[in-house]
Amino acid sequence: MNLTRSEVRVLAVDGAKAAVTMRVREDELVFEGHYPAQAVFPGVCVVDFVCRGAAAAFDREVVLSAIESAQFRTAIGPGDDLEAELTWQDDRLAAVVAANGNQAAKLRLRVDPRGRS
Amino acid sequence: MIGQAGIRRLLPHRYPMLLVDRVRAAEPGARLVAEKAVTAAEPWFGDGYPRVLVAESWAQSAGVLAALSIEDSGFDVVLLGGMKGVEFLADPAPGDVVEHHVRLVRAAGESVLFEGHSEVRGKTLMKVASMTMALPRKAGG
Repeated sequence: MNLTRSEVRVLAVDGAKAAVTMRVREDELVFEGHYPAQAVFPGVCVVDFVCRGAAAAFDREVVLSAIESAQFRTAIGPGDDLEAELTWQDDRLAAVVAANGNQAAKLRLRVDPRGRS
Repeated sequence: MIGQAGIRRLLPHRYPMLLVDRVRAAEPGARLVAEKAVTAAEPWFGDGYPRVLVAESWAQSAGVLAALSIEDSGFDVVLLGGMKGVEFLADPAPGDVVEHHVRLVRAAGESVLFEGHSEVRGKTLMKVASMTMALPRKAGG
């Protein structure tokens, strides 16, 4: 089972670039305990969304080998619309993530080259 | 040693997202060693344990250290600000006890910077060059 159940959709793919989107479902399991006082979509789930989005957009297995850098600017909550602009070069996956149109995160990831292409 | 009651007093996380089982050793303001037993019964255990959850579990251990260091009454939320140089070298298997080693590098206001690693039986699973967390004070606190 995936970490999250919200559906990832591919908007566009252009060579090494792609745009993917996901609406964060209110019934995500993670919200039950993160947190009881205020539902916050965990930053690591944003990383997971980018990996799932890249797998769908580029049709390859994505095994995360490093988070070279990640910055989280705003808290993401239930019902938020996420959109990620992805760039894949060699074993580097970069993503700019917006939540409801506002920049929410910037990620530079390294993915394991053993993934099929 | 800090058990579940103590961890729940210090962290706002709850099932199924409370990913710290116990704290073996803690030196407020400096360092902490915490444990998380990985089981196949966790709802997201599929082909393996999601690597990002090892990072989340480490981050929660850092949250315990922050709570012990700067605000003993705990927090309503802990927000991940950023991370750098988080490398995944191996994966835990069900039955493994992951040991998180966290060092507090510096605290400035509500923002705290940590570094460290995670290991299983002495084998490094993950290295963390830096992770920043924001810990807003409890409302009215």
